[in-house]
Amino acid sequence: MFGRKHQNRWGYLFIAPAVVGLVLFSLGPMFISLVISFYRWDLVTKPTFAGFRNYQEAFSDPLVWHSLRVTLCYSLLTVPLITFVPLLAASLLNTRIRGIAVFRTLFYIPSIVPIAANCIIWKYIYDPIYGPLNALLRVMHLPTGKYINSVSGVLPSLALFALWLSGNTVVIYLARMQDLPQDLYEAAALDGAGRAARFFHLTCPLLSSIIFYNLVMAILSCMQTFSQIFIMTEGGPANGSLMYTMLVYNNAFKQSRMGYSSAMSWILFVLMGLITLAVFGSSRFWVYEGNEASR
Amino acid sequence: MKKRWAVAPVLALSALLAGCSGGIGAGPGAGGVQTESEKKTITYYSWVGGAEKTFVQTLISQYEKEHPDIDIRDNYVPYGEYLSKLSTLEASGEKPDVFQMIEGKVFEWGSKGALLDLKPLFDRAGKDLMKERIPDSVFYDGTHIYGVGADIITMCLYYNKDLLEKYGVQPPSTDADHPWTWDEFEEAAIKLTRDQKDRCPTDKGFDPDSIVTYGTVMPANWTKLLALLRTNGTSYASEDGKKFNMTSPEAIEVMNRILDLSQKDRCAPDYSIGANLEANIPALIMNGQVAMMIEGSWNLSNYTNEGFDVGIAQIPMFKEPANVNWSTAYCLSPEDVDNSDAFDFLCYITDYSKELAAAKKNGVSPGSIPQTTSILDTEEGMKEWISAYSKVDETQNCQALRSILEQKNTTLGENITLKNFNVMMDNKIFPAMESVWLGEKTPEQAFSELDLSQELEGTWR
Repeated sequence: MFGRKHQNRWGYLFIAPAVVGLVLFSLGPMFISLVISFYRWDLVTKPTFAGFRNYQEAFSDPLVWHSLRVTLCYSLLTVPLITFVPLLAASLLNTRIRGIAVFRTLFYIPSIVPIAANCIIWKYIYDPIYGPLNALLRVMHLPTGKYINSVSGVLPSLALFALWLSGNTVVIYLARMQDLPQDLYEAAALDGAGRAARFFHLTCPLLSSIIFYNLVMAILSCMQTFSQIFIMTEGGPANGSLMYTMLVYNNAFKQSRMGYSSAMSWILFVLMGLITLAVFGSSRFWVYEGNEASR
Repeated sequence: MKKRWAVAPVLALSALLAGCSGGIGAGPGAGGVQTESEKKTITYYSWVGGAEKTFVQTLISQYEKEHPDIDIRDNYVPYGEYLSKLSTLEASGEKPDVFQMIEGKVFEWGSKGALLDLKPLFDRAGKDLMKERIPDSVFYDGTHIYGVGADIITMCLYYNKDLLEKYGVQPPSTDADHPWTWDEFEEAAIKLTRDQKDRCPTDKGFDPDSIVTYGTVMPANWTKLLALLRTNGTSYASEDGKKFNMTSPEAIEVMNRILDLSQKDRCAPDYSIGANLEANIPALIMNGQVAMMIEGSWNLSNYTNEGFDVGIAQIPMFKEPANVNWSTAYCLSPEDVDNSDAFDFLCYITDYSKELAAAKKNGVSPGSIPQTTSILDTEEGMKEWISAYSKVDETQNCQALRSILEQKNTTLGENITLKNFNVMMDNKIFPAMESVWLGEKTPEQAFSELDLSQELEGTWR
């Protein structure tokens, strides 16, 4: 009906908003931030060329190394939590019992609540005096905690909060689980495989590509965690939750060191790229590629 | 490199990192812009919120009524995001005409040409600010005036009069030359701390887990600590701003004694709890959960607006009475060609007598202490100031605050004078202080580890 050229024109038109958005709001600013990273710029005076000095300074800044350590610790705590607990939750939600839709909704609701609202709610929950968590512990005569108000408690508390936000991951697992071939499960059951055996030897391998996807997304989101830190702790107490992105923000907007913070952003970008590559490299050892063919 | 295109990543980074940040209200515009209705528009940025914002808005409406040809477009951005907003506006060449400026950044921005030198304008208007106002409220480096304060701030000891009376504690003097010693303050705080069975920490059977009233809260933030350091003859840095003082025996003593309030005396909640209480201190004093607290003078209006008769005195001292004071700056953009209206508005909102008029008319309390000598130095002026507090007789408290300002060791805070203060405080000093308050490190450990050689670059004046 339409010529190829005509069809292409429509195609280009439809993808134009996405491409324009990508160039204007992602690639363009990224390129400019790369340029800025080679300048000293305080937003007030004219930028001056600094070569690689911003990068050199970042590598010798103890605060940068500290924030990297904090980010790494947070990621090590959070990534397994938000990758595998949702997997267990999804397998529990993948049953046919009365009212399962209610449970599924309950798991998903926190993900659709704005992050700022979630942060305020959890800041209140973690309040050592007025928070409901400590109130509950007091009623049960159990020791109370300081959560985000102590150096040792802040990262585990934030990891738990991240788990609260992992409803999306549950939905992704659940969607794939409902699509898994039932004949395999029936055959395994006939062969005497119990629930645990079916989960570890069937569900996990069949879901490995989704686990891989969620793992990569979890790593990237953990390394870029900002909103909850900004709202709940501002990097404290005693820099105990000073994530790398928080330090980038502080340098850019509190201390007006745009060049330095741009250099820091590019260091993070490269670091995340390397980690992602490493995870991709490892995938051939544990991601089962044949699951698509078996559908 | 052109500034305009470079703003794109700034905005993108801003949006990426702080999705919810950003200004509220009308966008910035050039000074003296003529609108369709022939009104001139002046853009104004401030960080005030809550009751203070309502008060400023009242002042602005008062100005607009008196100047029907002027339209003030006021914008309010939370303090934490204020500098980033202003920096972005600066980078995009859209700086507001009149704006509040983070006090620690005034001389830095001024020296970089980002703030208008107000001295020629005040000279032309025949105003000698250094005589008319408390000098510390004027951001004067000896040559330029980069900003002026609308009032002046100091630190003071607030106390719940009823609780002191109930437990037989003699209130501190309102004479700033004769404050409580730290020992007297500590003793009073212990006496005022009460558990559910009305026992204080020195009583047998005192239960620290069921405290109903804390004697005080650790004065842990940098403003309070600075004021207390001054009473022990030290400060964050040496007078020339080139040597870090926090490892000095005097500074260590102050920090250890503050820590004692919570860890030894049990008359203050520990830091992890106390830090959360900071924002609610006036409410806690009013409802009797905390008996005394070192706080900023700006809090007085929070008590008087509620009709609460709070007590005010000079902060307790270690060696000698001392304190700090400073103002938040109101500045003009150097980019406006015609700044006569903006200057007029700046003069208006930093004129304390206009503040008093607005306060009286609307039945709200003025924000902080007058920075005007004609008010502080004359009985008529004092009466005028005191009469602005309609719900409570604040004669004693106003006199106490004036006494603090007049005390010979009340000097300008290092947040104004020390170069790179904000960077040092945010990145290094405050986290080190927190590790002390949390008991993670001793003051010696926390501060001997700090290397501030890069940041200590002297003082602005």
